[in-house]
Amino acid sequence: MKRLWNTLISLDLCLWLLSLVCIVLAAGSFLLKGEFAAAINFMPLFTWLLDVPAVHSWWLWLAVVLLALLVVNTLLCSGETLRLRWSRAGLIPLLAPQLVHTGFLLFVAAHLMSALGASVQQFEVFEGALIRLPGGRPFGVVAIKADISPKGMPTGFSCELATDPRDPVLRTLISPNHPWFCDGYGVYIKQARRYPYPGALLEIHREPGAGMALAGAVIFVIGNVLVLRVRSRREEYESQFNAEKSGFCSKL
Amino acid sequence: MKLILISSICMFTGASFSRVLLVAGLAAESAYLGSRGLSMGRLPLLGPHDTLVFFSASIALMALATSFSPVLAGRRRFTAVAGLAAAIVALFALMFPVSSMPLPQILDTLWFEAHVVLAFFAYALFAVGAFLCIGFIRSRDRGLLDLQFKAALAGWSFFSASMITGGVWGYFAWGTYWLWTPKELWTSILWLFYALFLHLRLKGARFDGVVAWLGIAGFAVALFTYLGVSMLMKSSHSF
Repeated sequence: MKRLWNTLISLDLCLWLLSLVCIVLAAGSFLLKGEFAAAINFMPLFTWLLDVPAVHSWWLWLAVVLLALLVVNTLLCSGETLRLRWSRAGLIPLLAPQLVHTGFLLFVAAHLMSALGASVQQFEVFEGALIRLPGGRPFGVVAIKADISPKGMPTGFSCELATDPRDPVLRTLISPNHPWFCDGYGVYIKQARRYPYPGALLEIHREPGAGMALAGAVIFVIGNVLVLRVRSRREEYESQFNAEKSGFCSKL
Repeated sequence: MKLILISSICMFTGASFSRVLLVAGLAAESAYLGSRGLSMGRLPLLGPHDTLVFFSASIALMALATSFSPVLAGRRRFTAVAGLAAAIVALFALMFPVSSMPLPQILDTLWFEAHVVLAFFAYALFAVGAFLCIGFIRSRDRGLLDLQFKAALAGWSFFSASMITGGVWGYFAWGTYWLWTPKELWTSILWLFYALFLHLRLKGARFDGVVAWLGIAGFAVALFTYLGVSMLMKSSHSF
């Protein structure tokens, strides 16, 4: 039991797992092509994993297992470090790497949430269309605008939505990078055309891990900045110490 | 305009004689990028030509900042190698056509600009780290490896920030902070590779040789993530 514990908290396990995840993802980057590659971004990851033959998805199964082990290793290693160094190390040098680890763990948790519950729906819409979010809330497409440059290149597009059934006058404008968020869903405009009549391709996304990923990003950045600060402080002390030492030696 | 870029290449090549030439080359390359930016009304960060020039300037900038470290005092080879690398990347940029297409609406956001700028700063720091690793392998001066660790840590921090800004951009642009494409996979590989690298340092001086070789390999992974994936694989990030 002790041996298993030592293995699980070991730096060696962390290094092996990181190496293996890199190799497996590299293999996956060459294997992910064709119809399976096209489908993976349009359904929850675990649904894709269950639908696709193992010959195309083995690398992702392996990556999931390795990442699960890496999560266990990170959790136990951080816990053990906090337990052993709690009273011996300064608070910031002790917590900074653990915050980075926490950020990483939240990223993995975010991916897990999205892998279980993400969804995408596409709608080809025209002006006057009425659509419902998966939760049931309706919204209407009022106007579709597609700008074309004098050379005939599409330069921009947007879509005006009536988003409040109680207030039909209220309008929300969506365009690339400016979606409409409602009830946990995001409505995105992907394409628009002017001829033969105004039409647009809308996508309704649900990304349950987004909040968790953002929380992870904030904690990760704080931890990362603190790690950089601790490193530069340590260096200042070392260079100050070396300068004092050399001054002391020259006096002797 | 290309003359300015060509003059910067000449100055980078001469960086072995003096650091001033590295500064002058960087100034010329910045002027070139600035004039391109002014003519297009946006940051020149699209297409192989502009991104390679930006990468070249980033290498020169990060090498210049690193060259002031006391560890590198009196070592002209570092600025020579960094200048040569910046020159080669800028020469490579000349092979691609200069494109001045209008910015697609999906890329017209600060999140995209931050994502790209931070990624190139990270790649440049990984390049600087690789040069320092070569120096360590040749001289066995541990000071070089310590400096390389700092470059890798700063590079990893920039790269993490780039991934985060890319995720935020993706969420607003595509509805997801993550897409399963070769580029995203290689981005993760690079991030995990440098996480591995930074953890390996905890093993102590016994692993210095492995650390040095991994520092060089890391830059190769960075180059593949930037150029290899764009040129050899089908991805939403391809230029």
